Order: sequence, then structure tokens, then C-alpha cells
Amino acid sequence: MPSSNPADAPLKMHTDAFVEADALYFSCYGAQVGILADAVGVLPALLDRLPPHATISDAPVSSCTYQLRLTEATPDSPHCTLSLGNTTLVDNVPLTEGLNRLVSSLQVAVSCHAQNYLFVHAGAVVWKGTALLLPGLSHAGKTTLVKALVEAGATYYSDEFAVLDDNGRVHPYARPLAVRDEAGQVTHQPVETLGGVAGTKPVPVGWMLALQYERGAVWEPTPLSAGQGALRLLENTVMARTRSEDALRIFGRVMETAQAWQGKRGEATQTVAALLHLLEAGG
Amino acid sequence: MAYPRARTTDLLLQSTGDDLIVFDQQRQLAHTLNRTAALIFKHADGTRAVADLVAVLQAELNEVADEDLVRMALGRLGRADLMEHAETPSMDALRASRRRFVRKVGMVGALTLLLPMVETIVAPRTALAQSGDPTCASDSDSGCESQCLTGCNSDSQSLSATQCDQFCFCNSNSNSASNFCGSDSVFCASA
Repeated sequence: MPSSNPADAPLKMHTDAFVEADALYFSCYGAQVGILADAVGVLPALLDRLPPHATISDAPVSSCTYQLRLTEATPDSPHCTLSLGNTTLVDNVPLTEGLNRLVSSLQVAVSCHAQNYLFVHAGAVVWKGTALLLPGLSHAGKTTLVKALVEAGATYYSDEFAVLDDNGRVHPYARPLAVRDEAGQVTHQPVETLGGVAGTKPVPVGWMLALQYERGAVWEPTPLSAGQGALRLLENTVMARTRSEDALRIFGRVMETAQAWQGKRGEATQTVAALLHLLEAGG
Repeated sequence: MAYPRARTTDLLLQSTGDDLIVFDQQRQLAHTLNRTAALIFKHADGTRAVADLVAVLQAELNEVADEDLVRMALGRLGRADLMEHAETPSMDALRASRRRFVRKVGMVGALTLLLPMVETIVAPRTALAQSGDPTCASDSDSGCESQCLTGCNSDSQSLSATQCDQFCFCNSNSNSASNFCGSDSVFCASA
């Protein structure tokens, strides 16, 4: 893998038969992922964009293998097709776009194939020794709230996935925060650039807050029962259907220690002040 | 339903706090039952009549428990498809039972907590639990292929069934979403 610049990659025309010229294998939380390319020089660009805590593997073992093939011999605009198994994810798109799609998909693949860990779609920070989970789907404002909490002194664990082990503890998935500006453009900001630090150790969950952003909303969260809290986690669980037994057991353990709340929230800075007040008051 | 019997097949159970979580593997639904609903679910084994279940609630919860409370719980469980041969009472009948019970105990906070609650969600498909990328690994080796469909359409992203009238059921056998709320298909039973 001699070059890290995709634009420098040797180009070749697409043919039906995929001929592997380069390969990259990594593992992350037990998920083993492979990326095959039909040209050398493309994959090095991915090395610093792999999911957090990924470990490069020498062994060509994977439960999930991507194929990246270059499709156009235009030197100024290399294109590619990305596939996973028999599914084409993007077809003949600019290489940069294809790599962005791959980077995004790798995180999904890790969340699906993780072994012994359960991925819940949630922001996660640690405040005074216990984790705070903020479950929510896309565009629920998780990153905004996580960022504000980190700026207030919380330890960063994730803006995307709460990674839970069998004891219900949350592990770091400290990818750069995907901060969206008002125009909807996403920039990836390492937590250190925000003056924050990423956690390194598993931590028990103390709080689960299912908050929904609404402009001008008044902060009036209501407590949830343990079962309701577990349901809020389950509805954001990546493999809720195939790993339902694991999910129930793990969430049962999470809710042994966690307080669960739900409600609407307004702007992040105001929410953080109110939220930290709630935490300090012990609920 | 002289001797009500709760479903026992294709269900995963997990106690948490006072609640019982029930995962219906057949329908990919998850329910949380509060203590009253959970007691009825556990004791409705086909050998106990309604009067016996009243006695269970009186012993375990409070002496004010009565037949209305038991019938409410059975109705909620039946609507969540957690009973065998359920008689599914209408929402009007459930509300009438609730009104009678509340009138009996008054609006005393602690006693109204006795009201049976069953909250239901549809377990999300993998794609629905993702941010920005609807694609899970779709390779056939993964075992998660069936979870990785695009799933429901954009109108059904919110699958929580906390609002009975807005309950949207994502049909597990198709990629279409249909509004499942009707007069006889209300899953959440907190009304």
C-alpha cells in the first residue's frame, strides 16, 4: 500500500471479474471486516478513517467483506463501485464519494458484527464515574448534546454508539464527533480539539435520558420505570431482532443501576445546564 | 375466558425493577409490563379464574384490587397478543373498567399506580437503528442479512407505540409500513 492519496491510485477499467490487488483486514469489538480492492494505492487512505479501536489484522479473516473496484480511467476523476457480498452499495461514483460511503458503512458493519458487545444507537459520556446514555436515531441531536456535555467537562465515549458488554457497562467508541453545521455539512472533530478527553475504560451506566430536540422546548423530563428505560434502549439497538435475548439480559443489568428519564429538550447549552443539575441532584 | 391463560411460546422474559419485559419473537414486538400487568401475566396459567387472579393482586399489591383491575390487565395483555384465546375487549370497555376502578380508589397517586400498563414497541430493523447509513452488512455469511433491509418507509421512522393512535406497525414480511391502529388493534394500553 504505497500511496495514501486516492487520486494517485493507479486506475483500471472495470471488468466483471474482480481481481484482488490489495486487501485490508481489521477487527473491532470482535467484528472482523475485510476490504478488497482491485487496485493498489487506494486502501491506505482508509487507515486513519477506520472505526475507533480498530486493529489491523494480518490474517485474511472476515465475517463481512467489501469489494472496491475502480471503474473509470479518467485521471482527473477516478470513480469506483463498492459492494458488500452481492449487494452494490454505490455504483460508479467518484472515488472520494465511494470511500466516504465505505467509511460510513464500516461503522455499521462493526455494529452489526460485534461479538460479545451490543451496539445501541446512543451518545455516551461519563460524568463523575457513571455513564450517561442518550439514545436516539439519526438527527435526534445526539452529537450536539454530547459535544456540549464534553465542553462542560464530561468524558467522551461516543456520539454514535453506546457499546455495552454483558455486565451492562459501556465501553468507549470514541470516533471523531460528527458535528453538523447549520447548512447540514458534517465535519469530524476529534474530541481533543474540543478540549475534551476520551474515556478508555468500561463504566457502569448511571443515567439513560431519551431526549427529543424541539425548538424552544421547556425542560420537563419525566422519570421512566426500569422497563420503560429498557424499551427506550431496545428501540435504538442495532441488532434488536437477532440479538433480542442478549439485549434483554444486558438492558436488565443496565437498568439495575441506571435512572431513566425522557422528555423534550431545547438548545444544547441550556439542556446541559439543566441536565447536570438533575445529575447533581441525584434525579 | 373463564380460566385465562397467558401465552408462553416464542416469548423472552426479563424482569427489571418492578417491570417485566416481554419480547415476542414471533411478531418482533417488545412489551414492558408494570407490576400489575406482570402479576396477571405470570399467574394467568389456565388454572386460575378471574376471582383467583383478584386474590393474587390483593395479596401481592393491595386489597383494593378487584375484578375491574384484573379485567383491565387481561384486556391490555390480550391486545398485546400475550394471551391465549384472548377476548379482546373494546377500548370503551377498558375505559369503563378503568373509570370504575379509579372512582373506587379515588385519584390517590399510589393507588392509581396499580393500573395495569403494557407499553409496546416494534423491535427495530437494523437499518432503522443506524445513523446516516441504512446498509448493514448484507453478505450472506453475516446472518444479519434479513435485518439489513431498508425497512419501513420514511413515514415510519418513529416506531414507539406510546401513543396508541399513532402506532405504526412495520410489517416484518414486507418493506412497507402500514398504520396498524384501528378499533381492534391497539397495542399500547396506557389509555
